Amino acid sequence: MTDKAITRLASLHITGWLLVVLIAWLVLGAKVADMTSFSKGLASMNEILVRSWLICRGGDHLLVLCWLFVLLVLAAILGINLAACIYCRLTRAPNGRNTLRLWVFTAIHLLFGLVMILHGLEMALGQKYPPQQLKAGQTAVLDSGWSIAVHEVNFVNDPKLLELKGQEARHTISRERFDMQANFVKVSLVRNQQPVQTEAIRMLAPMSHGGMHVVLRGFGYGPEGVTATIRAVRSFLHTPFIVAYALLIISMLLWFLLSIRPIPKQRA
Amino acid sequence: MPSLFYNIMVAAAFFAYLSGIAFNRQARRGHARFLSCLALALTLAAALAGVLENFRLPVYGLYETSLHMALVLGVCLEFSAHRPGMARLWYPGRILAAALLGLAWTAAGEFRFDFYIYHSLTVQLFFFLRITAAGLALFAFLLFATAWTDTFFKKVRNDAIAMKQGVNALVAAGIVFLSAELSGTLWCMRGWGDIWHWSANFFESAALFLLLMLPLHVPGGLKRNMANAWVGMVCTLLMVLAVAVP
Repeated sequence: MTDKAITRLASLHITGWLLVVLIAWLVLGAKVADMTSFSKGLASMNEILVRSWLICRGGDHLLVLCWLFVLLVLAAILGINLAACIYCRLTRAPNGRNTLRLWVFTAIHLLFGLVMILHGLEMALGQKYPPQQLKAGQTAVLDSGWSIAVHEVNFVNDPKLLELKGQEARHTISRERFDMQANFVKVSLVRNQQPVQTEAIRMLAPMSHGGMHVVLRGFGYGPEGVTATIRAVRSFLHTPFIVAYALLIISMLLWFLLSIRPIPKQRA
Repeated sequence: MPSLFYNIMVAAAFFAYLSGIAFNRQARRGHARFLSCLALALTLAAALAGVLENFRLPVYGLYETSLHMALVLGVCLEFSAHRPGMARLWYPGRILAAALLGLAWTAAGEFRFDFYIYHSLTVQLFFFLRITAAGLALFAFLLFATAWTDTFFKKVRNDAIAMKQGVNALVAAGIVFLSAELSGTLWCMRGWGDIWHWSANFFESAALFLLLMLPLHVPGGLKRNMANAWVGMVCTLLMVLAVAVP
């Protein structure tokens, strides 16, 4: 590709307009998420890996599929624009001038690109299993010889609280009424009939073994007593994603510190 | 009784700002500066009392959002007061802080409902850092508005100090907003096992971050006119409204 073509691709005009269109597209997605058909499509996307969703369920939710396609195309164009911009900045930088600022600038854009790539990979790599409602003694069979055995569901608060939904639940289930430590589910992660890890999982405190994460989504209450909604996700991207995100914030902070240096008097 | 305390503190801070503005009009700068600092100290005291009473950081809700944004804006105004060109922010900054306190006063002491997930610090940080970012974006809005009025009415180049400070405040808001998103990602990982969720809230968050980044990517050809300041002003205002009026 010629240098001229790369320069055109790196244009800030493209960046600016892409950002405007992306913002509009995301806001549109947020607004149409109120529609029942669209929200059902999104809910099904959250249950499994997007790669699997595209193959198995995408055809049932054409509106979501179209919205996702446009979003991915826009993100891809932004990625190309970003790569071209970094190339131009690095190849045309004046020697010895503002070197630190240039490297921090490059780091911010590279890390932003990395975060976007990790988001993309999260849609395609690993495995996500739909949540399952289980009671003590039951086992959820996953795949590749993996399963989750529930040994104990311990809920010490008023189980009737679990029947509340939406705003009513938010206004009623206070920190005093829901003990995050005492309410737990004891589970075993099993591979080929051999337990590999046994632990008590709590709300917002999952169990992790290698790349397998077992999450307690919530408790349920019905005629069979208190049950637990458990979800398993196999992904090795959690740690790299958090590290890349944290480094992006640090690089932006460094840029900010370089920018707030005292202003020369003649400009003031 | 606690509600009375918050009413008194917020009202006192509100009137301290108004008195400071009046003293500044009479060119009594020392009194004005003292009252402005007093208002900030009272706002901080009310915010800290709320944290201690609820045993959590401020999260959404009219009272907590308005009070915290007034606090962040007040801190930005006081700590940047010595920087060149910031004197022009004296009136609009204090008027905006007083307006936020007036808003908080209408719901003084009415804290957001106590949901059990506030046990988690990552959840608290998500909301707290978001309203902090909104406060910083409000400060950036003031600076961009100053730069815009310079170019619109006085026909001066807008690469002036207000513009530079506005960009700095915008970057600061972006950093804090991204930190909130990082907390949100940790919350999502622990609660759902994902780093991203396909839902309206996540789309809005992504749109807000891009909105904050848009003024930093205005094409070069427009940089010498008021479009740059105008884009900054509109984007920061939209961000503040989206966070403060969810």
